[in-house]
Amino acid sequence: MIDAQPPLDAPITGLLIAWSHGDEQARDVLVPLVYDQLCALAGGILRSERTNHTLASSALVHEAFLRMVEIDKVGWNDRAHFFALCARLMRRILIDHARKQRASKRGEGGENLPLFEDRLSDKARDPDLLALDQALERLADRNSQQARIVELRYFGGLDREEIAAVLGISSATVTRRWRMARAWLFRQLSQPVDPRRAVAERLG
Amino acid sequence: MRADDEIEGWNRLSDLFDQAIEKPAAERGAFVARVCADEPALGRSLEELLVSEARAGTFMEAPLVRRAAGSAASAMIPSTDADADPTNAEPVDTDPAGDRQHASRRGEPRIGDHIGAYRVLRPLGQGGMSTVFLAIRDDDTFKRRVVVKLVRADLRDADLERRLRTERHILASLAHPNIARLFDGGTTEDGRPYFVMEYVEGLPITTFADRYQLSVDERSALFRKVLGAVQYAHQNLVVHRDLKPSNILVAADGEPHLLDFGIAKLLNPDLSADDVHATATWLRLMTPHYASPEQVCGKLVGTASDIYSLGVLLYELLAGRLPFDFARATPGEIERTLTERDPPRPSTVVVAARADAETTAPTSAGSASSDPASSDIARNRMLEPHELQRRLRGDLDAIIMKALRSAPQRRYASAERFADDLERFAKNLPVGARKGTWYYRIGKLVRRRRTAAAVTISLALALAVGAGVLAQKHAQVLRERDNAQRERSQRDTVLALLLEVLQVADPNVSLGETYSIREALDSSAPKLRRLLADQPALRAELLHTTGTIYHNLGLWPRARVDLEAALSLRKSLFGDRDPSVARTQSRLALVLANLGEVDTARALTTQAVETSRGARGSVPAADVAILNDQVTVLCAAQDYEAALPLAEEALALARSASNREGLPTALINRAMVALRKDEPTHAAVLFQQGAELLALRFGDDHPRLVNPLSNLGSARRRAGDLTGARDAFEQALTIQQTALGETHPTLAITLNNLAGIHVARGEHAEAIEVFGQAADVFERQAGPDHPRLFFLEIQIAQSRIAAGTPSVAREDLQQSLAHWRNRIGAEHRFVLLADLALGRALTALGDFDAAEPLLHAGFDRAMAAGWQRDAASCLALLRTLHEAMGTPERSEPFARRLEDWDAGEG
Repeated sequence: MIDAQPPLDAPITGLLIAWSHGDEQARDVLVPLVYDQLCALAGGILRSERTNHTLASSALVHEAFLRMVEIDKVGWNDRAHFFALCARLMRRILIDHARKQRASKRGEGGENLPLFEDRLSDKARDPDLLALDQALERLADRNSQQARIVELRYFGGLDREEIAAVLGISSATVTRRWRMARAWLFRQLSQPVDPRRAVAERLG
Repeated sequence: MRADDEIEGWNRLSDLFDQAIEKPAAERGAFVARVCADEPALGRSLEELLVSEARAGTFMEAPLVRRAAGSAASAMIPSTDADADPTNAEPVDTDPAGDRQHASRRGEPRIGDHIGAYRVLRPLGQGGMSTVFLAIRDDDTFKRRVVVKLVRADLRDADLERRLRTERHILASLAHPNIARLFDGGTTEDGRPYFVMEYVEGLPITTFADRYQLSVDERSALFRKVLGAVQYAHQNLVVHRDLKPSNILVAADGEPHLLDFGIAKLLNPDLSADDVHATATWLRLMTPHYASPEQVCGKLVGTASDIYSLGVLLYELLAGRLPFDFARATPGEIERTLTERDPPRPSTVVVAARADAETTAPTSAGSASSDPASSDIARNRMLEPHELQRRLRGDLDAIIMKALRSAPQRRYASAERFADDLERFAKNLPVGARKGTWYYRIGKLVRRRRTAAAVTISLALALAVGAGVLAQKHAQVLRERDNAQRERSQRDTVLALLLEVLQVADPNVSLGETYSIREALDSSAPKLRRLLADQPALRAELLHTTGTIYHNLGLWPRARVDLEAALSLRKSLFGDRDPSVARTQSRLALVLANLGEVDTARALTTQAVETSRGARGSVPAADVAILNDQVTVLCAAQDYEAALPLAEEALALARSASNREGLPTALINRAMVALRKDEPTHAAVLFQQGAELLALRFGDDHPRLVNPLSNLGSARRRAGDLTGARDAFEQALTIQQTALGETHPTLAITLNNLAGIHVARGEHAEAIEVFGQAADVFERQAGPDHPRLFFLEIQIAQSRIAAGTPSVAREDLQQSLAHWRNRIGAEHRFVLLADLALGRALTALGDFDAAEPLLHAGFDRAMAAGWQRDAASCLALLRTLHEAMGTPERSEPFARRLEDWDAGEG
């Protein structure tokens, strides 16, 4: 089993609890702290990408998340909110990275490489992150809640119950909204490529 | 404002999407059309969304940032469990502390625990025999993720470790790109065996195929890869024994990966029939849908068992349904079904879900509750239901049914053979599963040569057919030497043309197009005639041939046109008294008899026979066909007195002939006359001989056997041999279903006859089922308004009364009467018959007050209409009624009247 990791930065726990009790100032202090932590984490992961070891196992991310707060001291709801925050930040970090990477690759005249090489089997259907980000913005224009659900699920790894807790809606609603959002995003992102044809070509 | 409008529109779209997605896929189109009738733009958006939803597959299912150990949610969606809706996948346990307690109670490893040298990353799922984990070997520099299968604690087996040691290296040596590798295996400290396997991310093959809407050809291609892997394993003497969709995962690159090869055998080494307990356990643990009959019966299991399971898989992959539905079946029922019944052919289950509420045995594919709509199944294959049916009918039916034979030795001998046949199908070559019948081979030939020029193809077909006919006549000894010479040179010309066509034809194949003989003939015959414009003799031969083919296809008007043209051509070339003229006359007579022009037919056939007899007065042996045709025509004219001596003559001639071409027909014709002259025993013997000869020549599943077998059944029945009659009808039925298709007109007749036998044998449940099938077939052929359907409903009701369920019969009859009375008029005889059946049902139910007036009125109606037999039935029913009422004295007049009647008739 996982060894109990000492929290790297105890203040985060306190700030989190304060935030969940309505202290918005606590949030303002919390965000940069978490952001820095996540950046360091993402940076480490993304650097290792160069040596062909990308986000090797997502477990790492979470171990890092957990090191930031004393998980036992915060309630389930607070944890959910914390992960929601992480999801938002993680999205920003990863998108920024993808943007820089694209710019540098373009500069070299190379192609835009997928961010996470090791997820080979998902590669075919993993969305282009920059395109996804833009599509999510468009989705937020239409229904911000659906965009949040996608963010929490995809960038934060929250499950249905957690998302329901964060957004204060029922988990059945989460399921419905997610289903539609996913379908809409799929269409937004897949229009140029017909996955059926891709599969058919592979089958020869 | 625009933005507000947009949000408003989005919310509507969202609501409608939620509503639509809850509906079965087949109903969504109609739903969209209905609710968006006035808003085409909204309708389009909604449709796009629904399509995207269906196609999105695993898109974004797996979060980019995954949850792992100790986080608020302890496990992610198992990626191998593709059937789970991602948003519905519950974490294994949301409370880590609870998880710990729960886990330790079950003795299952937790995240981070070790199984052997492997650290558990997360649970993947729970199988019948084991718990499955995603794990990693800490000292593995490649950080390769693996799957660890930990055998359930209660399945621990003292002998297992030894078997593991001996077999592990065999399994580990299986190296095939489509087989998930077995890396390792061992036993935990507490003695539980585990296996370490390659981790495959993918979808079960059936799910994959539907998500990506693979076509029938793509599915078949994918399946052939599976067969390749199985063949490899079988060559290495490893049998899978548990092949099913969840053990065949298809990765995103479209490659299938077979999991768990040999594991089932390791866990269950020697099941034997006497180890009832082991067999029962096994059955409970494995999915019975994919199990072979020998597996279910606890017999020895070999490679043929895998072939069977693969047959089930291909069935499901192509037809979208399972061969049998065992959802509610007991092990005994499963065993009986698998050993005693053939599943319905795949092409028969794709058009409409059959609702046989009456069928007690679990035969119908798909249960009502979980039955996917036919249109969905077809749409997932990019087809309409009837297109899918056409695609499956014939070769694919035959291939799948061969894999699903209950006798292991009658299945494909190897996965390779299985794959060969599928490949041959893909290339439009004749497949081994179908016996090479004449039409079948020619149909294949045409499909294969489609790329050649149209005229060439048509030539190939028509001349191949022509050559076939000519070859049959090859041994004919002609009276006139000149004629022989002439015909031989014609034949040579035809054969030379055929050969040329075959050499020229492009061997490249074009898939998926069917091209019926009729279409080929329709489009090619005129061209051929033009080609042969300056060779009238050959043109006449061609017309005679095409006319014969149209006749064989039952297309009589077309046959008539060609044969009449051939006749006038031949007459002008060779005169009225030429043998070739007689042959065309004879064939034309047959066509006219079928068209109902019996008198003209008679005249023609008489002329033909006269010509053939010539000066000598006897028909030459080579022309026995002409004599046979005449008997057929006379039978059609119902002049059996005239037919009898000719039938005798034809039979004697056919027996004396050096070749026996004409013998089966002569036997069957003679039998027909015997049957009509009320000599059923004699008829049965002759029909049987005729059928046996035909079977010898064409194979025992040739369509030509259908008529003689049906007649054999009728003859046997009249001779009192009910068992023999049933056998004959069933044999005819099998051929009809395999060779002629579900809509052939004779199918309903045979089913009806078979049901009649069941009635006579007192097998009421079977009778009800077969009558029901007959009604299905008949409705498909004749539409729902044909009165014959009513008659079948009445017969079903009669069987229900006899089976002891008169209340069901009463209800059915009342419904039928309400439906049909308006449609066909209250005066129709079937309405009377239904009333009589209803009277019988009411009598059986003790509702005498309702029964009595019904039967009295029925008697009056029958007498008024002159239906004496029905009136007699009424009397018999009234007698029964009064006996049941305890007023036998009132029944006496009826009984007496009935006796008088019988005496009068007798």
